[in-house]
Amino acid sequence: MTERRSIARWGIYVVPILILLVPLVWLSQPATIGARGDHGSRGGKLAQLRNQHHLSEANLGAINPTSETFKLATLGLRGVAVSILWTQANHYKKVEDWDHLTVTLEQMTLLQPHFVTVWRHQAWNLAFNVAAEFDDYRFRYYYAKKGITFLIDGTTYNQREPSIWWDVGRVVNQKIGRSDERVQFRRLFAVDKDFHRVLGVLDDGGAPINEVKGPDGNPDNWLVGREWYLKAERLVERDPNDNIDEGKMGPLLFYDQSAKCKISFAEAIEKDGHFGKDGRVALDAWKKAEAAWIEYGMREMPGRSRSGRVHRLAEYKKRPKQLLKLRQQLDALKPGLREKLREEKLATLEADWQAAYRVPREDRNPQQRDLAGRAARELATITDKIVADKITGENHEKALELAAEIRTEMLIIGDLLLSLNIVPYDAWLQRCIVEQSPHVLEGRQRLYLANQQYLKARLDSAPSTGAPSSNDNEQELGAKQQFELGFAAWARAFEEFPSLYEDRPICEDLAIVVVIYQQRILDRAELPEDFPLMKVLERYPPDGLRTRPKPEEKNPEDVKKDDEKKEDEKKEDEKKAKP
Amino acid sequence: LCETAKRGRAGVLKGNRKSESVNGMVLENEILNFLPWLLDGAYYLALVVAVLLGVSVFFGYLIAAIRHGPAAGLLVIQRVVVTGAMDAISTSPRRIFALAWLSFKESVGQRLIVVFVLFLMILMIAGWYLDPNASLSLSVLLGGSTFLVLLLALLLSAFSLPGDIKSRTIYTIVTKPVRCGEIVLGRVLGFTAVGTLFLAASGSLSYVFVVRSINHTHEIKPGDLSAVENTNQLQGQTTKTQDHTHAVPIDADGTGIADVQHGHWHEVNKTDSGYEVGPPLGALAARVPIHGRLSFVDRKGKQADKGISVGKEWTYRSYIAGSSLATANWEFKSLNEEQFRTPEGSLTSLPISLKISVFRTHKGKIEHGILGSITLRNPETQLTSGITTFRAKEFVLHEIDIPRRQIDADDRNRAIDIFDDLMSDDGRIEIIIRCEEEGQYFGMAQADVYLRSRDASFALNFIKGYLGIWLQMVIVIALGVMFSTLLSAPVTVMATLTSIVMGMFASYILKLANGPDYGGGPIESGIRLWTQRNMTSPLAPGTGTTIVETADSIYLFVLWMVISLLPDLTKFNGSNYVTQGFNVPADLLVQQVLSSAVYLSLVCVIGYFFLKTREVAR
Repeated sequence: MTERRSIARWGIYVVPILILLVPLVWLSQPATIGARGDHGSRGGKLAQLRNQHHLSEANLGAINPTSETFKLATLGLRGVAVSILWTQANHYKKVEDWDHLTVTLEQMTLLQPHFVTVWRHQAWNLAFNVAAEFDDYRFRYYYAKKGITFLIDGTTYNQREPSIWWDVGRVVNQKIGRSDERVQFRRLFAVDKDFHRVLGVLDDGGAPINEVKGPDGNPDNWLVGREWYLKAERLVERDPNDNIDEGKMGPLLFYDQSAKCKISFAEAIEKDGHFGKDGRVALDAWKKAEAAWIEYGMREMPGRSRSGRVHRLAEYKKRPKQLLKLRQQLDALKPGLREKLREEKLATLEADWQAAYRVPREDRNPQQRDLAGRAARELATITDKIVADKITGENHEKALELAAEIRTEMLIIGDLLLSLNIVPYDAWLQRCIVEQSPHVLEGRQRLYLANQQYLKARLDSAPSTGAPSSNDNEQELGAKQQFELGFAAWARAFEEFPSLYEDRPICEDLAIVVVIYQQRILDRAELPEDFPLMKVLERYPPDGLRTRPKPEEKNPEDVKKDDEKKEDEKKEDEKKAKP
Repeated sequence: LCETAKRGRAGVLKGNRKSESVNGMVLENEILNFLPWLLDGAYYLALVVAVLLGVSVFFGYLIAAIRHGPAAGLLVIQRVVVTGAMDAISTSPRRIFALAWLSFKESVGQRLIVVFVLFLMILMIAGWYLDPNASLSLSVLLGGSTFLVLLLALLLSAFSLPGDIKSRTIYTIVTKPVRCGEIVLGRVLGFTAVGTLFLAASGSLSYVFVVRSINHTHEIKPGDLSAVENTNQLQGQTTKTQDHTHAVPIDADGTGIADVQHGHWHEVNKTDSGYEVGPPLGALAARVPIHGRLSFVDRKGKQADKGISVGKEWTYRSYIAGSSLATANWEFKSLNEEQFRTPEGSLTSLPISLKISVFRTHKGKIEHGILGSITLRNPETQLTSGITTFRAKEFVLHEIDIPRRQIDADDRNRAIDIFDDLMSDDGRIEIIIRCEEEGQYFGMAQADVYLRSRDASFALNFIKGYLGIWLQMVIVIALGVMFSTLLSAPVTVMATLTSIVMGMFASYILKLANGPDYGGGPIESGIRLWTQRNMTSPLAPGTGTTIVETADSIYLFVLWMVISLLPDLTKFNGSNYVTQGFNVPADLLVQQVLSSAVYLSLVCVIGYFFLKTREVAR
């Protein structure tokens, strides 16, 4: 009896287990690789989902035993455990217990290594929020590094998640290159070989790879950051079948950073004073920056609807010209047709609209502007397609083709304008070109040297020895002379590129330098009337600048009286002077 | 005087140089002295015992009265009390030890080996993956030992009695002339012996591991040294060992002290062939801090309880404004010279440790710490020393040796002595700290500044840390044995685990029960949730509100009672002190031992009565 019961019980347990095993096997079948390394089976549903959401480890060797043990130990309560750890991490941050904070973050990532938000958010937390809590800049640097290293750890678990790779570039750039302590951080970064190894920018011999070398031969944070942006870009571009995209950022903002790194690098080396002989090092950096920016501009960007229509930022000048040309071709098929159609349409509008529209644009009053605008909107309904439809005969087909081309071109220009609103491609390109001007290079170098001389308390040049002028002697000029030569060079740059007056950041920076010059070198004396950058100062008046008061505008009558008075005084004097 | 000042400055510099150390302790709750603690605790203990006794007698009588009638119920209670008293009197240590020996023999087998193997694995992993950092290694090893020994304690205590009862081997014991109390005590003692064996082994291995793992040295190659401008000093870097290097300034006499990295520093001496770097120092320390009482003076020079808030969420530290009259003053009591004498017997300085938080309202000089100053004052005579300046170092323990020879702040030509002139007859001294830079702030809590007495022995401190673990183990064993007298093995495990886990949150729950009742107890909170009312506006007065509030207060009292019965194991954990390099205070140790003893006795008594109710025991 007992034996039979135990067999029955055995059956009760084993049969459902076997039944449950069948769907389990079907669900969790692993993906396989074919004999020739090609795609084998796609695996069960779980394997497919893992692949789709990029949750699988790249290979068996990438599986971290500690992480897997942690996951197992939480018995499916990973989410709860991570939430508790997240709260705990916040607590440790509050009570400034940085060691425990770091350990808690590591535990979190061991539990959910594919939870991208944890990596990105907490790396930012370490590099920016925690680092800022320290008073000593070396500790700040240490925690900035910790944040970056944390992200790099994240990339090993998320080989198909470009946002983490991209973030490494972002933190390396923003934290090291833009914080208040950037001078100190960049200095520490340049010689931090261990960190360079972590960042993967050393070759087999332990020397920095050429792509990241700054002017002093050490890795520069902007170029290192660029390498990580490029890694993220390569990940997206690697295989279109991988379904890896730029994420929420979209290609416009995803790809511009690697090019901007080159611009920031050129800016940074100028701030560090690495101009090279005759400014050649800086010039070369700006040339490369321009090339990188144009390369970015030539990248195909998808249109708004992602319907396959693409545009390139670099075509911001070419496209409108192309549109104009196509319209001219269409109009040439039947000259005068468009004007006739517009006239006909105009005649159907209300009389005051017509009248307002016929007033030349510059002479319209506000009411007329409004009415003319309405009329223009009505006239815009005469599309190229309508014009093409009216062209009959042998040119009809060609007209329709041209109208279709114009329509496509207009859509592309619409997308292009939207993109230019997001990334001011033209402004950055202009900047790269302007910065290569010898006048700008000289201006920047001289103002840098002026500051250096000022810090050494060498305000005026040493007496001239009569030796012929050379570059070295130039560098020995006092702060005052360097400032003045720098301002003069900048004035020449403004003559060469009048558009510089529209560049607010450059003008405001210069205005501040002028204030410093006036306060520290001229000892608050007024600037001379023929000061080379007077126009800039008038346009962007900085705080704290002492300028010569303008002569008050006087009433012509008063002026006349004054003149008469002077005349009388003169006569009096002459009388007195007579013997 | 000039010479004194110079020596003083040199001392301070030397102090500064070797001074960055591991994080200091954060003591949010002050450790009470033994006597006040005892008086305070005795009151609560008496209250808990009285309530527990009252509740037991009441329910005991209620059950007995229902089963046997009111009069017979009284007799039952009387019998239980009398038997209990008789059992207590006639408890035989010999029998207890015999039972303990039996439990020891039964349980010293496989489980102990498994747990020990697990410990060896932790040791191995620590060797492979951890930075050779004393604090980290200690924390992992002490934490691992605690976890494993508690697991061992739980398994041993939970499965033993229920197993015996199930397999009926318990009859071989209960049929002998032994008392229930002896069975409970015997088990507790036996399992404690097994746990102690494990702790002794793991402790010894951990000690050897930590001492050996941090032992290392570096080299200095002559090419790595360069002259420091305008001094006779050389400055350089040691080679990299165990993933770190040290910066070393070398004096004209060829000696130097490397800076602190990974919680230690090295001494450097010149030899014929170059420079020799000594073994790591300061890594395995047991600092003995003498804490003082902190008070503040505000920016107008008036006494204040607290400094100002700089808007941090954590209000542990409060701040003083720089370049103002604001100061943070510590008064130290009952000091004597002997506390500060070095092991060599010299007494040249007063060692002060600072852990100051810095808050800048402007960038200032990024590469320099904020300037601060220390002044010493005799609280009796108000004699004040000249200032000793320092650059604040945040999040590191900044140790400054103030030379005993000082100058009088009021009469700068007069030399004074810290121990003779600035310390009052009853051993009091005041330390006044100022922030010297305008627009910048120093933040401080009471535990942030202390005088450092002669270090205690690290080995002894290590043992104290293990004693804390041992106490936790004994409590878990006692709890396990207590529950196992009544419950089956898995339920015992659950019950013990729940008690431990809830015990860890005890202080939080107690805060709920005692703290300011924002929104009231559970019923009132429920009403507020339901009616979407805020937490602060009072409920409309009336009978309903009175009933709700009374029910809530009864609930919270019961909660408080239950929670007070649970052990908070974290309070027995002294390993924090050991890992951070501080001596476990004697007061704390005595408090831990005494409270665990009291807890143990209570749990054993309850276990005795539980076992009494079991059929097998009759």
